[in-house]
Amino acid sequence: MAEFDSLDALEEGFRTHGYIAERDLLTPLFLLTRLGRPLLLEGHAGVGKTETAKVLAQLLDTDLIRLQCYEGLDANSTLYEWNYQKQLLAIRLHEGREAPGDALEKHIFSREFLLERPLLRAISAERAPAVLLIDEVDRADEEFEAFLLELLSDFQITIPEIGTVRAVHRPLVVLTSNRVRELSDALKRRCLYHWIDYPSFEKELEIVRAKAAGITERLAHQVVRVVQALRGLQLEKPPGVAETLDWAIALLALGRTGLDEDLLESTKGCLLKTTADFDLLRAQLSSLMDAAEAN
Amino acid sequence: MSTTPELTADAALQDALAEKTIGFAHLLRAQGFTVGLRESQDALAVAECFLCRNFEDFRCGLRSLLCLSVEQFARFDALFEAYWQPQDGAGRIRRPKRIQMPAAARHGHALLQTVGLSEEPTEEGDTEALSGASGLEALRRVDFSQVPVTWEEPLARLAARLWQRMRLRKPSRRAGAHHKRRPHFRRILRRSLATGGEPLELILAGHRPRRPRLVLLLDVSGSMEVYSLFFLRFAHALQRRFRRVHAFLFSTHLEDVTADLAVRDVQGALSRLSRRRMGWNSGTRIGESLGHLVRNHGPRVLRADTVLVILSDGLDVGPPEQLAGALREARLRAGRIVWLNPLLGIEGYAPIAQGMQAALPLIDVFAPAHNLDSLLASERHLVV
Repeated sequence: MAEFDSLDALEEGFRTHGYIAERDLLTPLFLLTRLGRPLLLEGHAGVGKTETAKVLAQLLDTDLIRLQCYEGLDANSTLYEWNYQKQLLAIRLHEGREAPGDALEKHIFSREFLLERPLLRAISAERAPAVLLIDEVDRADEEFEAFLLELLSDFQITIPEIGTVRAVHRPLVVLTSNRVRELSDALKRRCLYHWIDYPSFEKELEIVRAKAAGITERLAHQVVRVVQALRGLQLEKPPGVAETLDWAIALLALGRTGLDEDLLESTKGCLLKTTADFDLLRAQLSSLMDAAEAN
Repeated sequence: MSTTPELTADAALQDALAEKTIGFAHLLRAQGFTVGLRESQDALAVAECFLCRNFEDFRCGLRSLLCLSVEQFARFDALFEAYWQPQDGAGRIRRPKRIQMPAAARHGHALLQTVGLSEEPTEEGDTEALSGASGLEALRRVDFSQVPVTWEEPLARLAARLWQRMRLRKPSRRAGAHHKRRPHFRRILRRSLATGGEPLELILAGHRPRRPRLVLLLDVSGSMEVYSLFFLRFAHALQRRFRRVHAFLFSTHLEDVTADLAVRDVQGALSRLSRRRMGWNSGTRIGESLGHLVRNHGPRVLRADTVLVILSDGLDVGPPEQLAGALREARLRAGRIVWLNPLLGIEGYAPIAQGMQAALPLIDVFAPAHNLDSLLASERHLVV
């Protein structure tokens, strides 16, 4: 199993890949590689849940297999499907010849005709344990959750026509959830759990500096102060770190070095996504600018 | 699992630390965290990784292992603090005593006794006998606030039996065909024309039917608590029929009691609920509570297939506009809003209270819920 010597090594690795993480996120990640339990990440939208898994895969130099969940997702489309068209074609090709019977059946139900879907791919990874990212698991149905529960405890899949596929390397599983729906306790219990909160002022500043290269120190401070002040308001959709970065990069692209009321007003679309929030911003414009200039 | 070099130094110390770690796992279990054998074992592994290196990491590690949601973080941190760094004797945590069930709970009418409704049971025989068909009829019709003590147990039993029979499903011509989706032959054939009559694509008919979700908002102020707690019994019995049941109590503020309701045995669930004792008998802030529900829990619990049931007499101390605003927001999210008002069972009652007036145009169903019959009749409102 892929391992890091210590937490510090993991922290260093994340930093070099441009992901500035709080220490309390790294601890469960470290345990994920040690204990082999899946890790469930929850948090507001745009705080870097998905990114965590991506960086982990890069860091371990292994495949990232991503399963995006949605309502109505079922076990078949996540495990495997038979390549029905190809099977039919093979039967057609065999038609004129001597009746092959069993041999043909064996042939068309072999791995060649199997379409591997993410979960099967994650289990049958041969080189090293893959990082399996099950994104937004709360969007999937409860039926799928139950199925996932079974898979995560055994790491094996039975295909009636071929046999049982056991994981050579247990994948490192990262699940993310936006809390659209409460997950079952049984699933949560299998997992390590972490809640990613919005970053502190210093961390977010560091993130902005790292991701928006070339930003002036003054602008970076202003950007982060405004965003943090915005999160304190009763917004419908508070801006996440992703929005902070979008905004910082947008301001950079505009060639600005400092913030003023007009600029904040005209670039608000980077941060806020609903009209009600726009109204709130307009009402709070001057106090937000005060916050931006505070020390 | 590799041992850290620092730890191999002293086996005795290691044992002591392991014991202390296991003790912590036990403490959390006693405090209601979900901690099993596997969690205890993994807690030891976490201790091996971090304990002698960085105490803060150790805390984070155990937290991610033993907590199931962010709501538990604060309690975990407090318990961790108290267990691992006791400042003095008072700060140390003692195991809680086993919680005593109130004697009444064992006799099957904890509900009414715990809310302080019934006095000591009166001698038997002073109420009319409850036998035969007419007795059952009487049971089904009696207003919940007027139930004589000796009727409580038969009423609860009858209710449980009747509720089990409820179907809670839209009538469907293809009833019974729900488990498997059938191939849609007409569409398969039509589609096969494109591939020279070879049916390459499998098309299944219909949508998979879903059980609806239920969100309950129950008034527990003053006169409403009897009805609300009886309705909770009803909700408890119905839990299996819904994909998910969320329950909230409110009087002056809102409280999420979903977890209490999830306790399997109904008496246990009810005695946990009645132990909460939130602002009984105080005024009602329906608008504010509903607004709080929609804003803070809305994205999680209210969806297009959700039935939102509000049980209240509509006597709101807040401004009616607030209630109307909250209801309007709720309508955007929930599939259906049902308002059950026990006062509707009283002859001559008209919904003229300001709150009720504001709410009426915004709700889908307005129905009584004062006795067993009316609850059974509410069945048809609980489907989306």
